[in-house]
Amino acid sequence: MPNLAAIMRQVLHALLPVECAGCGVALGDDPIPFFCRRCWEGITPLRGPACSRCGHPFASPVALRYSPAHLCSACRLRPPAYTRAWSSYAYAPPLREAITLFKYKGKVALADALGDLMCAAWPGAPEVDLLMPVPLHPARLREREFNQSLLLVDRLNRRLRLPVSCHNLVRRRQTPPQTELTRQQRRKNLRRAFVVMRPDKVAGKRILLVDDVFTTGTTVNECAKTLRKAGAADVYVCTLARTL
Amino acid sequence: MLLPLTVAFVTGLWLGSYTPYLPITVFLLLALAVITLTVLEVIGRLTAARSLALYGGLLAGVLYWSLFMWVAAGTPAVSQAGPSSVRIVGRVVEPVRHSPGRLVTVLALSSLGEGNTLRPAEGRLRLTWREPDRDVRQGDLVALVARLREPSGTLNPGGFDYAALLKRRGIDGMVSASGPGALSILEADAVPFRWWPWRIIDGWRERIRRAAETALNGPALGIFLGIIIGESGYLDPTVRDAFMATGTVHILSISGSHLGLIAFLSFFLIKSGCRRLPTVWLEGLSRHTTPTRLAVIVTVVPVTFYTLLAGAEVATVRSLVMILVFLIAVWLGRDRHLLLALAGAALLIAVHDPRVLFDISFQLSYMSVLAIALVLRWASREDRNGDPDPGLPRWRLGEWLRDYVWITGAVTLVTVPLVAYHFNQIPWLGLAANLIVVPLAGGILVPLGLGSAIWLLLSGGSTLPAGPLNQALLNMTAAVVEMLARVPGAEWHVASPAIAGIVIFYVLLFAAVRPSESRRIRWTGTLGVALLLIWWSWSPRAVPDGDTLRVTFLDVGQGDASLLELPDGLTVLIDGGAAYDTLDMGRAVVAPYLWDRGIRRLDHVIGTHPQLDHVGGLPWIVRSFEVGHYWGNGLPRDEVFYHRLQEALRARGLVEEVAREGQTLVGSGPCRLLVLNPPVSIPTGQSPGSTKAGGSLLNNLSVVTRLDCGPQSFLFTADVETDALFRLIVRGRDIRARVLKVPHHGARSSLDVHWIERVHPDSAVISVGGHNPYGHPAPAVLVAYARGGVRVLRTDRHGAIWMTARLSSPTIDIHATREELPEPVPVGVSMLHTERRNLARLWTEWVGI
Repeated sequence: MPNLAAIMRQVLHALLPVECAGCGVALGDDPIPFFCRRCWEGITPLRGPACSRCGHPFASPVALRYSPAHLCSACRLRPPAYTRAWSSYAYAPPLREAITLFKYKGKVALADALGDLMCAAWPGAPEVDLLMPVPLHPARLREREFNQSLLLVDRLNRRLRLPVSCHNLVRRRQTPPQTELTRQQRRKNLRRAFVVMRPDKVAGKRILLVDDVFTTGTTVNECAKTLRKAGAADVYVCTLARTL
Repeated sequence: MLLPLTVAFVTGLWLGSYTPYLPITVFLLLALAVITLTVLEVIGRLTAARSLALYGGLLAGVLYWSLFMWVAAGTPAVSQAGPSSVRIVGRVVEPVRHSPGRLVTVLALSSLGEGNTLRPAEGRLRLTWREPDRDVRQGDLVALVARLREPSGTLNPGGFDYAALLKRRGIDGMVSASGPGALSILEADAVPFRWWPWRIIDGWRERIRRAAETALNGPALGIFLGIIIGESGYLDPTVRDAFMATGTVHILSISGSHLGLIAFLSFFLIKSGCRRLPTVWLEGLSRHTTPTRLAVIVTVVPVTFYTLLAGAEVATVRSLVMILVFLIAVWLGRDRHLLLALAGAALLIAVHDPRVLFDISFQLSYMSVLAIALVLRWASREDRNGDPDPGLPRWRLGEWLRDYVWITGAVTLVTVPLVAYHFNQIPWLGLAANLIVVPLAGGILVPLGLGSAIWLLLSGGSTLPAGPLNQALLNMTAAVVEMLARVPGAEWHVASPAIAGIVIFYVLLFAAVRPSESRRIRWTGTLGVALLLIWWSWSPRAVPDGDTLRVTFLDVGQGDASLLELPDGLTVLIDGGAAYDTLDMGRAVVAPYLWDRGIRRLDHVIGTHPQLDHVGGLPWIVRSFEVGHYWGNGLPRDEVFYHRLQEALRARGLVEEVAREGQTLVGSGPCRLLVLNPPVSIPTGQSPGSTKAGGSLLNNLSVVTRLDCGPQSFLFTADVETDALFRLIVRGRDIRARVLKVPHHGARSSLDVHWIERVHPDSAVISVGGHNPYGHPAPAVLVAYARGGVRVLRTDRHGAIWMTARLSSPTIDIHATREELPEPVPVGVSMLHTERRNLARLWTEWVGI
């Protein structure tokens, strides 16, 4: 027997039809908002060889054959402030469409589905004491109405069950969006953009920093730097997707 | 899929409404649809699934209509209509509507009988109580003694069919009570529980109404009650006409626009309020829900409250449904699909009651919302083209203004055919007036008034808060609208467009605005729309051919109104029906008929004698049409309607010219209109008084005219009684006529068999209202004409009667409105015959020729 929720979704989609943001097919009783089952199931975690620091994927497994802790050139030249960064998925269609809808079009209905993806791919490795989202500037928050990273943290925390701190790390400068900038500009753009309000609360803590997309890692690195300066013992980074 | 499915279903319902009259045609059209869809499918223009959905929707519509009407017809009608009063007991089941000195509501009948012998009965009655001395609320069980009447209204070609409207609203009969104590409330303590919530709301409405009545006056009171609690009965008709002429009448009732504005205000206040919360709070909130979603949820409260306060009328609830569907779409983040949400809402509403498709208010509000949705979609597409980055906020006032002007224009344009069809008007001024009035009403008047009302309810006082402010702003709005309505040509009246023309208009409009069409098609569409608009605005008269004349006896209820259209294009109106406080026959019947005929000038208007049922409707006619001469019998009356008439004449620079025996009112051309009564010896200026004797004297002095056009002759005898009839014989003038307007609505006091023999008409028309209190026409009168072999036509039975005749031929074609209505096709031999006749009848309505 199909369950009631599926029937309701079917009826709703008949009344307010919606097409899959990935492939354009009309949705039936598909459980994920805005995406058909096929597209959503096509989102698979990244499993290839990657930099053991920032998670940057390597082209071939040869890179890790002799030293499993091999670092990418960027990490070797300029070691990031975080201890380890994971990215669960590639920032590619249809996940890219999902994140755009979620973040820029305010489709918060996708938070659960994206959070589930994050939980499913959680490596489960390090012991941490505290979860933290990458903060938004208040002006951006007012405009967007929510902090996408915080929503992801909340979903992830359904599995991890750890304390969440979302007001300690704040963004004090309103910076232009990172999307259009080069790595150099990004770094400059974000310099001293973050600040820790209560350093005593992070001192000696192992912190897991969560964000939606990892592009060059500048944002999370800047946050990690700020947190480390404030006394954090370790900063790990978990992002939903990363550009390749 | 939903959009084509809805269109198919609605088309099916529409076709279904014709099945009783044109079963064969509908069947053939359905077969044609199968063929068309199959061909489209074969040549690959349509997928199989889509064509199946289209056809399924169409067929479902036809069947659903038939099924629905079959079920609806199952409710027992009241068959107790008769001349004698009965005791009626019933429960008030709809919100009570008030106007000064009168209340109207609907009773669900529980028992009926004479004296103490009550029997259980079923049915819904419309109750009117004049001069009530107590309030009535929903759920009250009331008893009264009154005459039960069938739903009735006037029946004129192209006119508004009030009886059909009442039947559509499920009204089986009408009763009225008059004076204090006429209604008694039974079992006041035993009102069923389910009525309690409604009674609480009725209590609120009552308190708001009382407070407003003491705090406000003039147009302010009427507008306030209209926009806050949906009581439309307090507004002066002339103010309403000003709103009508400027295309802003929609702001006077709580329909979609106010509800939508309140939803909009509440949504954006909450949303932006939340966004301005301290960051920590906002972030805390956003972990559970977003400000947008919170605003959606909270907005449901004021919108529902407002709907309830408005009496939860069907039209308001319909708007509420549309708004709720839209809010759900926003909640789900599907607001880009506004059109689909609208289609869904239409489907819900049509399934609930398909008869709504023929409801003016539904058509208007739905078309307006559709236009708004299309403009917004188009605007958002433009935005996306120009601005790929939805990043930082920008100053959007310019865009808002642009969209707003576009929306006003679009709404005015898409509603033009409907307003022209139902109200014979093109409110072109609405383009400008709405730009001012809608923000004023939606942004200030409604929020302020609603705020005052809520404060009043919460504070428990009895004076309306901010009364003077409300008064000033409302009166200012009325003044602005009245000023706009005085712009020359603001009230532009037109003939009702033919339905085929309206369909073509929408098809062309669709072609003109559809972005995917080629430039050539879009230009053709635009040109076609423009040409249709020009044609409708012009509404020309049929060119007089110098041979045909047409005489119409309008159905104005109890009263007279006859229109003469002569072969050379001259027009003469003899009397204009009555005008009561809620119904002016001049405005409701005579004027629309004139507009429909393309008549904007009346060469002669004759007010046969100063009685309400003859000249009551004339002031409106005199004010709204160009009048050449006004003729009367020169006798004044000290009555309100008489003073109104004189005032209207003065305002148009006319004087009442006195008609006396022997005068020729129309002499040039092929026809002659000759006055036969009153005699020359009667002095003017003496009022005959309002006694019964005075009334009889006045009747005998009414203006009798005779029209001669070649072989045709018509005798219009107004209200003359036997004295004057006798005198007409004695004077020895030719009174023989082929068509006679029977004197005095067929009263016994005007019966002279000898006189009828002298006139020797082929046909006689009795202009009379159904169930009138005078017992007109008297049975003896009917017998006398029947004995004389005269064909008698009655406006109460046949509706308006029009006759066309030619100078070149002796025949007169007589048409009765009732006989021009399509009749249900019986199963059997005469099927094809009836269907052919129905097609011919509907052809006129459709094509207008």
